[in-house]
Parts: sequence; structure tokens; C-alpha cells
Amino acid sequence: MKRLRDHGLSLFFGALFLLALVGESLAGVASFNNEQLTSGGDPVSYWQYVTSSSFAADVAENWQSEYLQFFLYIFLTVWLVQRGSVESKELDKVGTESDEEQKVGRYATADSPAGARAGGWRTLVYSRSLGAVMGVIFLGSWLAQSVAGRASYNARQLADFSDPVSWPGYVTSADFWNRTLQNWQSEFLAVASMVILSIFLRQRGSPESKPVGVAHSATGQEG
Amino acid sequence: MRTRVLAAAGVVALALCGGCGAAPGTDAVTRTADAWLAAARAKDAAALCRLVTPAAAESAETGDETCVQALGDLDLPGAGPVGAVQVWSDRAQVRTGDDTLFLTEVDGGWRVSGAGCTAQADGPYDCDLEG
Repeated sequence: MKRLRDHGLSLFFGALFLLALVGESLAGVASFNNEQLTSGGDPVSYWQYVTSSSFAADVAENWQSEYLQFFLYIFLTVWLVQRGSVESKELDKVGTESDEEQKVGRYATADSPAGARAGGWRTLVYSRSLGAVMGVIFLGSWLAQSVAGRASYNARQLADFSDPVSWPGYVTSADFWNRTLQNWQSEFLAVASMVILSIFLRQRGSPESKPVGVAHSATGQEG
Repeated sequence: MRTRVLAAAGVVALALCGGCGAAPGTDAVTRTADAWLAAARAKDAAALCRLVTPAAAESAETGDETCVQALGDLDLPGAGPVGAVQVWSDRAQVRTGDDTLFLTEVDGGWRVSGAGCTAQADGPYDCDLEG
């Protein structure tokens, strides 16, 4: 029970993710088959749908925007601060900070990760691993969106008696950028909202909020 | 904000695989296109009607006219050979000697959904038969 409690956040969001993905696939196959019937195609099975380019494109386009959000947020919050926001570090700590503050190299402690103690390129890489992994997943998801999206788009093109497009043609198309930017704008809005609202509003007990009684001007404090 | 779980590589791979473009089935598409061109050259409207999608047959039929009568009235191009074939999901496009054919997979087989098609400067092809 204690183990469950200790990992509750990961387990809860992992379960929510799976439930939402299954829900998306169930709604998606119904929607896809409606379109198939109106365009003279055959309905597909659930398994055919979840392995289709249409489902892959829908999943990947949301993934890439989420990982872009975290990639940018992780990297930009090294250099950009926001007075009063719980999402910002203290205003005088702009930049990558000193080895002592970051507990790397000779300042590493006994329980520091091996990557922090190693020094050299290993510490350099480990010191940027969180943002780098988010960035790689973003690029991978975006690439997947472009490949799967092109396949899905070309099937629709042929159903409309139009020519299919090449991959370069697709990644410069209105369809690709419409799908991409409609996801990006919502992510950027959510981040900006969190940065700004956390200055003035509180959620008692949440580390995503300052303690309720802390001043609006206090920066870099978590509840 | 900081708690989302990394669960990426597998589904990204699935996404890439799901989008693997030109799917198997090119041979079956080519066979249907070959049969279509042979029927068009032979002016065999009955054979043409067996090769079209239900939607295309329905759109060709007007009033009391049957599919055979309707397709018999159309002078559909039949020059070979079958050239470039593109298959995307359950849709395909085939370039022939003097036509661009559009095909749809219906009931496990490929059928012609567009024929006698002329490319337009902007917008879809203009097809004598489509549905």
C-alpha cells in the first residue's frame, strides 16, 4: 500500500493515459467508419483502425505538441524567469547556475546520481538529459505525425480524386501545419496560463502552487 | 506539470509503422487495372460494370438506364500499359497509357471508383465515371 502511495502520481496518470487512449481509439474507429461509409469505402475493424495511419497521425500529433511543450519549458526556464510565478526559479538564478548549486563534479554528494559525480562529458550530457529526452521524443513524434499524416492525407486525396503528395509536399502542406499549430497554440496557452495564474492564485497543498499565504511577488517557492 | 510519464518509443514506432505509406496490394490493384483496360478496349460494358464500385455504378446509372447501358455510352480510355501505381490505405491511383484510374478496396477486392479522368489545374480530377 505504501509502495502504491509513493508512486501514486505516476500510476494514476499512467492509468488515465491508457484509458484515454482506449477511449480515443473507440471513438476514432466509429468516426472513421462513418467517413468510410460516406466516401464509398468499407468499414474497418477495431484492430485495423488502431494500426492505421489515421489513428497513428491523430495520436502522434498530440504527443509531439505535449513533448514540445515540456522540452521548451524545461530549457526556457533555465534562462527565462517570471516574477511571482511558482513555475519560475528565483530571479537572480538565471542561467545554468554554478556546480556548487547544482551539486555536480566535486560538489556532488554521496547520494548524487552517478552522472552528476562522473564529471566531463558524462556530467555535461546528464545535466541536460531531461530536456534532451523530451526534445528527442518531440522530434520523433513530429516525424511520426508527418509520416502517418501523409499516409492518411493521401488516402483522403485519392478518395477525393486528387493526386497523392510526397513527404516534402505534405510537410509543407496546409493540412500538416493546421494539425501541428492547432495543437501548439493550446499547449503554449496552457503554459502561459500556468505561469501567470500561479502568481495570483493558490492551491493549498499542491507543489504546483505557492503556499496559500505567500506573497504574490515571491518567486520560486513551492507549496 | 512535471509529472507526465515517459511512454514514447513504442507508440512512436507504431505511428511510423502505421504510416508506412504504399501498402501491400499493388499486385491486386494492377490486376484490376489490367482487367479494366482490357474491358475498355473490348468495349465490354458488362465486364466494366463488374469492375466498378457500387457507388460508381450507382452514379453512372441515370433514370431507367442500367450500369451496362450507362458505361456502354461512355467512351472510356483503355490504352495500356499500367504505369505508376500508388496505394494508400484502401485507395489507389493507377496511371495508364491514356487515363488516370482511381480504385477503392471494396469487400476485399479492388474496384474502379474513377475512370476517364482529366487532371485539373487546381482541384480534383474531372472524371467521366466517379463514385
